[in-house]
Amino acid sequence: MTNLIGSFLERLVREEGIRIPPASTTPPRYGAEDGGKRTKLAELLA
Amino acid sequence: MHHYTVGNVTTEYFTFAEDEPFCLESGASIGPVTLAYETYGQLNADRSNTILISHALSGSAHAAGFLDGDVEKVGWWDDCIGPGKAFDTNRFFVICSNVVGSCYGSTGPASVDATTGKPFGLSFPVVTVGDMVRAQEKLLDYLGIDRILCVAGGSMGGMQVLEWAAHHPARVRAAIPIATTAVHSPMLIAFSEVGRQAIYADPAWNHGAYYDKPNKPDAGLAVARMVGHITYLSEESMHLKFGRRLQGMEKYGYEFETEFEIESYLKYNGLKFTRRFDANSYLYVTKAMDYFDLTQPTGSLAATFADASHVKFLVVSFTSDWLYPSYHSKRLVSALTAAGADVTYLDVKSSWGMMHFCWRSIR
Repeated sequence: MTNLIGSFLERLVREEGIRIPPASTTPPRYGAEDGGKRTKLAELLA
Repeated sequence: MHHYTVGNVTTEYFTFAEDEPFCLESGASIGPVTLAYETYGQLNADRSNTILISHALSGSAHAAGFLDGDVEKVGWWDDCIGPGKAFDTNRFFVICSNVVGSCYGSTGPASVDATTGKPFGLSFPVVTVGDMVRAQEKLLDYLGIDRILCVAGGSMGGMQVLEWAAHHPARVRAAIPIATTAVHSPMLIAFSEVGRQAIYADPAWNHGAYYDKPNKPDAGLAVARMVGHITYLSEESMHLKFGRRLQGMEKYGYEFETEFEIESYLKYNGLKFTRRFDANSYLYVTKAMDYFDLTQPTGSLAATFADASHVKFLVVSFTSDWLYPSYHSKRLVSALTAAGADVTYLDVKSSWGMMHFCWRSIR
């Protein structure tokens, strides 16, 4: 199901011409503890 | 599969109807109204990348990440919301708002009535799914978002998704209703009513006036939740997960203590629910679901979606879901197609009933 949702949204972005914010502008508030980098859930839960 | 997180999050609050009351479908009005909400990701320059997540009966605004940095408080749909996940927060600005009538920070029966200084209890007006969505519309106005790219949710969240598409189509580009219905069926109303009767029958409920009492209607609320949990599972999943196994014993005790694993499971979940949910909110939110009927006022579901022909739909159901059986979604797909909408339909083969959707999310 999650793959299908991802594909559906991907198609939507393409067809609607949605501009995606560059990853570098992701606010540090989300994941601030690792400088905004992706954080593995397992590591945080360990 | 990615296992990334949005990290630490905080719930925010938006209050409206401070001057003019918020008028409800019932004809009653209320104000001020507060909505609890969370956001993840970043809004793009033309404000076109918003995804609104709608929660189910007992859900909250906390859909992803760790609330206030507590790794034990993981969002209810964290499996699907985050960097690299289905609702990719590197790409989308995701909002999840707690519904009016709930007990997770939004105005509801447990909130204090400013005119009396006491909790509303049953003096809180009955709300509908339509009211919940119109309150969310106020939040979008406040955030400066005219149009959402997509609205998604399951069960009662799916009803909100359909409400958005049917009655606010100009503000929606796409919709993902999951394990839901356009019309709450008599069977669904029946299950809701059994849950409500369990709460009414608890002397501690006290006609909804229990907030200042030492005892809460936990027994009634727990039974309501147990009934709900049965409907979230399928018969096959009960066989797979519990079978007829006994809990902590090898033979029957021929008594009325908890003997079977399924009994223990239901009791545990019922008790756990009383620690996080308000009995009056359970009454109000289930009532809102019971009123949900998008065939009204014309009697035609396709007519209801007549203005939503531009909306792209992804409709998802689960083959073993007996609460919202696949035929509900198929009927919806037929109506949407008749209305001229672009519809993708997925009937997920699953043994787990609606629990497939809410395995991580709590309904």
